[in-house]
Amino acid sequence: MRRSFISHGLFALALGIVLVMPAISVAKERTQEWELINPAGVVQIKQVQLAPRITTLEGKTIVLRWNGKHNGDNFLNRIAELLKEKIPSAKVVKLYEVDKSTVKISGSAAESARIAQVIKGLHADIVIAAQSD
Amino acid sequence: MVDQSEVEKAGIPTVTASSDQFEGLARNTVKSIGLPDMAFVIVPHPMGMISLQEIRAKADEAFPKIVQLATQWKPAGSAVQSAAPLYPAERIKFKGTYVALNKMFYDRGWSIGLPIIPPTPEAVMAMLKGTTHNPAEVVWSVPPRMGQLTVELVAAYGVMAGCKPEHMPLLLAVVKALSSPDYDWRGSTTTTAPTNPIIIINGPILDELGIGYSTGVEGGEMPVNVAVGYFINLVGDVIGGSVPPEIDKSTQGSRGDLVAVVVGENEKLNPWKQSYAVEYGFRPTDNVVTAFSAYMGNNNTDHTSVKSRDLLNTFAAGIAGASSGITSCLTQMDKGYAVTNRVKFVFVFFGPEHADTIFNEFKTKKAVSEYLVKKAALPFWMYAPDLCKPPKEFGSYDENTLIPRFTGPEQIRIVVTGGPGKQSQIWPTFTTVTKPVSVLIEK
Repeated sequence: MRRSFISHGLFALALGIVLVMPAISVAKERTQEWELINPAGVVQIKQVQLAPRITTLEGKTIVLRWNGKHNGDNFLNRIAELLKEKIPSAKVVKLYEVDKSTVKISGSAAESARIAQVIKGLHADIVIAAQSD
Repeated sequence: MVDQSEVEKAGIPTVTASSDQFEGLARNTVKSIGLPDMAFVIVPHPMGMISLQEIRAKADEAFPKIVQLATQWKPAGSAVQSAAPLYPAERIKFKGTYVALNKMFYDRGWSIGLPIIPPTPEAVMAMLKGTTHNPAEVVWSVPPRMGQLTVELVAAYGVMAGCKPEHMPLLLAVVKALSSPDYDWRGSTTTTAPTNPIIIINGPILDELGIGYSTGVEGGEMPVNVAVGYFINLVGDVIGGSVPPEIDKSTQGSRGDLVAVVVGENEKLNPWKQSYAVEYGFRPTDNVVTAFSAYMGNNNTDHTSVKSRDLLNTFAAGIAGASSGITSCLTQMDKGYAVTNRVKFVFVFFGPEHADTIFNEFKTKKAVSEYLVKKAALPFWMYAPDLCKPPKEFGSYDENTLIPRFTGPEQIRIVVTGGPGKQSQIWPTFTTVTKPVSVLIEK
């Protein structure tokens, strides 16, 4: 009888451990209601008008602009050859040969604006640029 | 693209050849400048680092499209401006666990992969007690996305990153420095290069806020340094939109693009006594933030040199070779970006032991910089093609002639930071940075 009592007691203890352990070993994360600030911020950009487009390259001044990245000049040199061959009435100006201070990634709006004024000073009708990389 | 947009604004139409790998960035940049669209000719990547024959072939292929776009292109549509108010920021409700909240933030592009502290209105209000600035004040239009960063959102990002209310003046000063045109945030965060912001802090604020400046300063267990560094990249990626792969084009990225490098100067162990901030015009009692965009740094681990010159010679090797392949020779600090003026300054973070050894002979930081300017030189053949074009005054040279990287001491900037140990770091600047930006932290 005593042996039966001990074995029943051990069985009950084992059963209790099997049932209780999973509940205490895994703590459930609490679901809660949150109010949060949307951190994305509002995008605000001042809109700019595109320049009026041209409809022919005949007789136009075409400025080729290179930003200094490798092979951009070689790309534009070939474009210049093709323009001279196919549209001989166009005046092709390699900005990177005329004004070396424009051979750069400007790095600032002020410098971009300066370069644009250099181009305007050449009476450009259109600018073809190479970004490379 | 910014350059081409200014040409359009000047009334001259443009056509731009862009590599296909950068089309997304190019179109996004155009929109972020306010243009609805721009005429692009997309060329198969790469255009750079291929033979003359290959690039000419790509030009041949692109030519008909260039002519067509030059004469027939019309923009696809017009931009739509958001009508949402800047302040207060939108409140949203979310039901879920903390883990689910973090997943939601990441999925929406509101975080960068590390856990954040939820920016609840209560937490943000508490942060805002750290400043007298109006929460509605816009302190930065963050490129390239041009999200408007208000003081309220500075507080929100501060909460997310683990900052405290007393950090607000520091965060606002950091924002002011990073937003300076001299920093070139847009260029730094859309480049293929492994750039990261470097922040140097000087002044009594170091001990007041517990900002790290000794052992392990750039590592973990620096709660303020890490929180500020995390804040910076949250702002840059979320409000600024500089996210790989379309906008942040960094080929391999860098860990500083996850948590920016934020160091305090170890002013107590600086043998020259003059801190970086004082050297550049501030008072010892001023609290100052200095920021610049850096290429990946390298280290000097000289354990052998006892003489100052011997130690500086090993630094010269590290400075000369830093950011190999993009550096120019004979650069000048007061000249702007040019192909032949790239990477025009470096910062040297001397560990205190290295600083002490150098101080034995070189009693001023200027003397150190002047020595390094002479010694930090590479043989001509080690410069990438077209990046080193010595002027006539330099004299004759051949491929083995040593040609210095710099021409003036102001191009080698010195900060003492870190703890015991014979270790230092060299941080070269990103190529379009004009100069380091130093800002007074408001009281």
